[in-house]
Parts: sequence; structure tokens; C-alpha cells
Amino acid sequence: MRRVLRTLWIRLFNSALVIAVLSVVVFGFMRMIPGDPILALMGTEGITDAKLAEVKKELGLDRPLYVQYLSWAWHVLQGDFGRSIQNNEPVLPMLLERLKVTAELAVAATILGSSLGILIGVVSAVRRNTIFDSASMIGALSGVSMPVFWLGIILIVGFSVKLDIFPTGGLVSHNTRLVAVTGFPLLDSLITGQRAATVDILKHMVLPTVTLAFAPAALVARTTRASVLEVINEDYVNAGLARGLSFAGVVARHVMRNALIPVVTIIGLEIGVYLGGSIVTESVFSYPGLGRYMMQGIMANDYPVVQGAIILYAAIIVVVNLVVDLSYSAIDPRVRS
Amino acid sequence: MSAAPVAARPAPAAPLLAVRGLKLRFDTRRGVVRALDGVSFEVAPGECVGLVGETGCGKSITARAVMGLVPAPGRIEGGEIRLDGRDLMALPAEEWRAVRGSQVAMIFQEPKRALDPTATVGSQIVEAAMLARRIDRAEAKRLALDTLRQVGLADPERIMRTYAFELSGGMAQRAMIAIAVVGGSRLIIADEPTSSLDVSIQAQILRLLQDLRRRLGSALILITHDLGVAAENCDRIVVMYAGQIVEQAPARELFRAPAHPYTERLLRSLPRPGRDALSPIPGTVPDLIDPAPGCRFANRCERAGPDCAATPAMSEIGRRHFVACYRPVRPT
Amino acid sequence: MSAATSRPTVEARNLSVRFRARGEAAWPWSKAGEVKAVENVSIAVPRGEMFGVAGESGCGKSTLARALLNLVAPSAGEVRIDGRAVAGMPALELRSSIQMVFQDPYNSLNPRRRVGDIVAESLVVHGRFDDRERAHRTLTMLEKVGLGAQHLERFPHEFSGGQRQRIAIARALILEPQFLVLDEPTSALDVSVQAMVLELIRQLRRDLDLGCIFISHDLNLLGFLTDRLAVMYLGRIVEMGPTKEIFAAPAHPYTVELIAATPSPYEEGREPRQPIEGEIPSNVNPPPGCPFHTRCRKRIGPICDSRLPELRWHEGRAVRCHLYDGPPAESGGAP
Repeated sequence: MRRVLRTLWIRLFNSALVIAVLSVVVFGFMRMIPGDPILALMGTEGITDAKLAEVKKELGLDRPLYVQYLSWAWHVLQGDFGRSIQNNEPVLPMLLERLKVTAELAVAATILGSSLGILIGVVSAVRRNTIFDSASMIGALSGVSMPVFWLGIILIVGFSVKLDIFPTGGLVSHNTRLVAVTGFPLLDSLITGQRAATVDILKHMVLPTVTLAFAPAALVARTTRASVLEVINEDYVNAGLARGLSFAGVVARHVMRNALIPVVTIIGLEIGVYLGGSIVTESVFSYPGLGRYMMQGIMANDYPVVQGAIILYAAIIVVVNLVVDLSYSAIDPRVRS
Repeated sequence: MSAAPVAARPAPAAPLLAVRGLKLRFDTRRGVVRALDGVSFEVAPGECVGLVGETGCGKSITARAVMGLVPAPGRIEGGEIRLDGRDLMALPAEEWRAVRGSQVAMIFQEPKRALDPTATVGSQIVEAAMLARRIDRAEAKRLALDTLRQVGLADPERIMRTYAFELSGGMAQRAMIAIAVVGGSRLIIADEPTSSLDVSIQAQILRLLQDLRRRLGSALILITHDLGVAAENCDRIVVMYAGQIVEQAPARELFRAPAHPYTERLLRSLPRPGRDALSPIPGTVPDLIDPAPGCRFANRCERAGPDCAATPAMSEIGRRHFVACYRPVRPT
Repeated sequence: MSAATSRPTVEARNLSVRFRARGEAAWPWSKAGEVKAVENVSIAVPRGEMFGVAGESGCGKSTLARALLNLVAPSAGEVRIDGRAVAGMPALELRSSIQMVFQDPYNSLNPRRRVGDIVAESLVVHGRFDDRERAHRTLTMLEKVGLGAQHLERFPHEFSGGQRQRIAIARALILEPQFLVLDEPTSALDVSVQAMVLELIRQLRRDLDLGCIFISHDLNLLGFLTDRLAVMYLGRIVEMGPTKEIFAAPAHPYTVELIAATPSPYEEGREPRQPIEGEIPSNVNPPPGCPFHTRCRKRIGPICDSRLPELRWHEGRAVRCHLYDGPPAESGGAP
């Protein structure tokens, strides 16, 4: 327990540092992107320099950069992420609303990617050098190397345009009405008992989820396979067999838990990949989540939106990694002591 | 045993384990490694047999073969392994599995690596008891506690909840021994059970194995590279060299009057207080990929002659003293 | 022995080495425990002597070896070679006075370097001699350990364990040190290979007049090889003296147990002896008083639990036990 506490303490400190540095970088980079948020908002026609200066002053964009940064950072620390330049709405509630949509997608992709990856990895390791092993490892390699947007487009062409099984994009169909309770669309539809809406949301989720989960599943499969192959040569596996366990029994009772320790790390890292992937995937599938919102923000040079979204992303990744680190203590008793 | 009249074999002499003509190969990229070549030995009920030899002589792989756990890419090419007269190699895989843990059990060299690092000692011993004895969990737990006490672990309730990393090497080996004996096996195979332990702990563990053997009446195969350990613990010793058995004899006899030149030279290379000089064996162990026919020790043997190009058979040169050599060392 | 004292000698004087126990504290400001690896050890080994250090895990024998080469800094006391402190000694002088051979012949040689380069490295590092002289010395040294010119260009993985240990010995001797520390150099080797390496070490000791400190857990080996022996337990020397005398009549109860527990094929009819009980205590929190009292069969009373016995002379050797009350043995030298 002492070690866990120590880990927690160090990790929290590091995380705060990472986010602080990141905020500076993001702030700086946003100002380096060519284009002007006000011009993007108002258009270039019929706008005088005087008017432009006035709006800039109103938004505080005329101050020196470091003053702008410090003022923004100070407000963020107090939970105020500012207002969107585009529509003047407060950024944080908007971000959180979109995040809920993305979260459902990410959770679905994590579950799909991890379980599929672990399953394929274990079977490949146990049936090493069989056709299944070779085929799935080739598949995994292509999964790791295939660009997300391309996979998304292929899936849309195949399953929506040609086969017409799944919709091409969006969160729900036009005629479906959602009742908001928690803000999580799928959860809300379940709570309010709207069977039709649930099915509709799920149908819309399938392709984006597969797109998101594909590359991570491949990486998890490769990691799991390597890890199982390593564990399977350990003495305690032989000891298990020597006391009369079947091979399947040893794998289930003694190999899995030990082999999963490095896999958990990979899954933790994958959460970051899901969030990054969601930016592209949501754009491809017109999915109204955080990724697409941020993409729109970037297009419009909407500084507060983009900065807020990235800080939020970073915070989520940091928290997830912390949870992963702590989950070791659930899996590995050596960490607990 | 079945009631059918089996070929008349005097009951008292029936060995518990009989390994005959065991051949085992590894198909590697470099070629076929003949890891075991015609290994034959017996273990009587309750007997302690030492399997000694240097790295690569095949003593550990013999143990694995008896357990039916030959690691890939090894495979048994010929011979038989009979336990209580039953040919294990003829059994379907499932039946051989049922033999493991209930009739033959194994103890490993590094106890802390032979215990699952993420499972409690208790869960592993209960697992062994349930599998071997087909009993329910509650009964298995009672048996487990009792067995842990028998192997000298005070406070078995606490030990049940511990993990391997929380135990010292000696305690972990006691726990492994408990896991091995909880199924009631009549044959325990201990593969270098004390090589990773300190001498004072080694002595405790060896003593424990002897006590348990007497108390439970099970036979013990003690695999070791340490001739001293074999001498002090075994009734009979089997000496292996390069995949073959070169000599077997009652322990005292072997050390008093070694007959195979390899055994004799091995003993002369042992350091001990009062010895003037060691006499190392010249040369190295032959490559087991396509070894030359005949005695595998011939290339290092000062007594070798032209006849050694043919494989020597085991011959009995004294009471229960066998040697595979045309020119054995005669006691002076 | 008075003549021997004038010979060049490696000495540890009241040497202690302590380490911080690894990352156990919950908070950065919590105090960490301390491993007392070596406690107040004094030994003196003259050139030409084969000195053994025996003991089980945690007794501090390997740390002592490292401290002799100044590879770990002592927390107290000092190491002197021929009267000069090793701390602060210039690298070349130190390395050409004392060298070490490690336990594992598989890890101690750089796998990507050729044997000739491995052996010659010290000469190159210290800029000794020109290329021709280096090549000559390297070959001569390889021949001394039983290898030859045909091995110069090969890599370590092409050699067996015994041959690698020969290479390690050649590397250690290339600067012609007076002293050689051998830390379990044969414990990873088979008996027949060990015999070859031991005979080599004996021969080199004679030929080069080396002072050797041989660390081992194997009492049969030390009994065969060494002239004098120190037995360590939990960081302290518990008995030290001529090897023959210690084996003939071990004085400290721990030495008695250790010799009895060491299996040997030759002592037929030796009384089966009840092994010593209990585990070796941790040297983070060693027992108070005599460190061995928790397992000692000859414990005489509360004094053993409370007072650390001094090293005292007893029948030609130094013994740390309350059973004996000879004159105190302060220095680690011979009586």
C-alpha cells in the first residue's frame, strides 16, 4: 500500500506538470496557425480596421501574448474555460456535452478492441505457428499500419453504400428524438426506455466503433501474444501442468493474469489513441462528439474551444493512466505490498 | 491391479517406476539433438534414487519425460515408461494428465519461480488437492492446511494467503513440496530442489524430503548435480553422461568403488578439504547432434580403446552395481 | 609469519558498508531503512596467500569483495594496499594493484567485443605500451590461462563457460596486479569444468605470486583451495584463521553448522545431523547481540541476545562468540 501511495503522489505531481507545459505549447501553437478568428467569424467583407481593432480589444486579443496566456490559465484554474469566439457560448459546458457522446464511443471501442485483441492474442500464442496465428498476425500488422480515415471510408463504402446495413454517419437518424437526462445518448435512451432510439444509436455506433477499435485491437493482440508466449515458458506453468491441470486450465488459471500485466499498460496507452482517433473518426462519420467539435474549432481558429478541448483531452489521458497504474495493484500482488 | 493372471512376475520386486530404452530427440535448426539415448532405470516403492550428472546430460529431461511434460520441440522416439506396470506412453493424454499430481508429482529448482506470482499459495495447493483427490474445496482446504503444517510451515492459515514473493526461498520450497505431496503421489520427482538455496536451508529441505518420504512411503527421484547431496540422501544413484546412463549403483558402493571412468574422474575433480590437487577431465562433452556411435565418453577417456567404438551394454559388476563400459575401473 | 607481514598486503581495517534499503518509503520525506552489508570487518591478505571468505546469502561477502576494489565506498573504515589507502588512489595504480573476477562468465564479458580486445582493454585504457607490446602481452596472458592465438579474434559467445572464465581471468591479470579478488568464479560451472578453473587459479597464484581473496559459499571448495579462511554471517566475521585448523576443529557454532550442512560424498557413516533451524535474518534489522543467537544451538544465555561478542583469539584463530574468552583480536592479521 505504501508503494501505491508513493506512486500516486509522484504521478499526480508529474501529471500536473505535463498539463501545465502542454497548456503553454497549445496556446503558442494556436497563435501560430495562420488565419484570424475574427475574420473567420465575420467574414472579410465590409469590415474596417477600426471595427476589427474594437472587437479584438473586446475579446482581449490585443494584449501581449503572455498576458493573454496568464489570464486564460488563471481562469482555467478556476474552472472557466472562456467563451467561444464563434458563438459566444461558454466553452466548458459545450465540451462536456460533446465529451459524453465521445465517451460512449470510446468505451465501446475500448471494450471491443481490448476483448478482441486479447482473444486473438491468446489464441495465436497458444496455437503458435498455425494458420490462425499467421493470419491474425498479418491482420494485426495491417491493422497497425492502416490509416484510420481510410478504414472509415472503406467501411462506409462497404457497409453503408453497397450493403446498406449501417448508416453512413451521424449520432441518430433524423426521425429519432432523444430525451436528455444525463447527456449520454445511449444511456439516456436506455433510462427512458426508448427501445427504438437505443437500436438506432447502436446502429450508428457500429462503424465508428470498429474504425476506432481496429488499430488498438491489433496492437493489443500483438502484445498479448508476445506476453503469453513469455509467460507460458515460466516454471509455474510447468508446475501447474505437473499437478494435473490441463493446458487450457493452466492458461485460464495461471497464464492469463500474469500475461495481462503488460497488456493493461498497452490498453491504458490506447485510450489516448482512441481520443486522438476520435478526432478523425468523428469527422469521417459526422459524429457530434468532442473530436468533431475540436476540428470545427481548429477550422475557425476558435482559440478557447481548441485550447479547452486539448486540456480536457490531456486531463482525461492523465486520469486514465493513473487508473491503469492503480489497476496494477489489483492484478499484481507484488505492487500491492 | 486387475484380477486377470498377468505374466508371472514376483510381486515384491515389481518396481514402482520402470523406464526402459527411453529415446528422446529435439529437432532443432542445427539438426537432431539426441538428448536421451536408451535410458533405462527403475525405482522401487519408497526408494530414493539419485539422478546425477553435469549440465546437458539429460537428467532433467528424463524427469520431464516421466511427467509427460517434454517441452517442445522435444519428443519421445522410443522406449517405455511404466508406472505400477502401466505404460504411461500408451495412455491417452487425458489419462496421463490424471496421473500427474495424483501418482507422480514434481518439485522444481527455483521454488519462487515455480509458484504463480499472482496467485496465493493457498489457491495453488487447494487446486492441486482438488485435482488429485477429486474432493470439494472445503475438504481440500483442510487437507492443504494439514499438509502445510506437515512440511514445517508454522501458521499455515497465514501461509495460505501469502504470495511467492512474500516467502523466503526455503519457505517457498516447503510450499512447493506441500503442493507436490498433497495429492498423495507415490513418486515424487525433485529436480535440483536445493540448488538455489543456501546450504543451511538446503539441509533443512533435504531433511524434510527424507522425513516425508518415510512418513508417506513415497519414492523419490532426486535430480542433482551435487554428488554430495546425492551421496547423503539416496539409496541408489544413477549417473548420466551425454544422454546415456553410464553407471548405477547403491550410493555407498558408487562412491567407494566407482566403475565407470567418467564417474571415477568426476569424483577426482571434486574439491574437498585435505585433497592435494584436482584432476580435471580433459576435453568437452560431445555434440549431441549426430554423436559418434559407441561410448560417448570415449573421446575424453584415458582407458578408451578400439572396442569403445561400439556402444557398451549395461553389465552387472557387483550386487546391484551396473556399468556401461568395456574397460571399467576395478577397485584396487 | 613475521616475514610475511613485511610483504605487500591488502588490508581492510574496520570496514563497514551500508546501503539505503530500496524505495520502501511512502512519502518522499520518509526515512528509508539501511542494509548493513558489511560491519566492522578487518582482514589482511599478503601477496602469495589464498584467503577464503565463506558465508551464505546476506553475509556481506560480495560487498566486501567490491569494497576491496573500491567499487563501493565504505561507510566506515578503509582499505589499504601495501599501506596506501585505495580511496583516492589513481585509477591505474589501483587497477594494477588489485583486480576482480566475477561470478557469471556469461554477463561479465562484452558480447560484441573480440577476446583479444577484451583482454587488452585495460592496457589501452591506461595507455600502457605500444601496439606491438600490447599484442605480445595479450597473447602471453591468453597462453597463461590455456588459450591461444587462434582465440584472439573470436567473440565470447563462441566459448564455453569455463573458457569464458579463463578469459575473465586473463583480463584481470593483464595489468599484472598483486592481488586478485574472485567472487564465486566457479559457482556457475559444472564440477569437471570447475576443477580446471580451480587448478588454473592455483597455478597462476604460484607463478605470479598473487594474493587471492576467494569468495564462495562452497566450504568443500574453500577447504581444498585456501590457506586461511574467514567465515561471515550477517555482515560480520564470526571466525577467521588457518583453513586446516578451522576444518579440523571449527570453533564458532555457525562454522560448525555450516561445515556439517555441506554435503560431501566422502563422509560415509557420518551421523545424520539435525539441520540448523530457522531462516537467515534480514540485515536491515539484524538481531541484537550476537547476530547468530536466533539460530544458535550453543546459546549460553541472555548475554547472547544482548551483547555483541568481540573477536577473540582462540586456538590460533579469531572467533566472535561468547563461549570463548581469549584475548581480543583487534587487527585482521595473523596471530
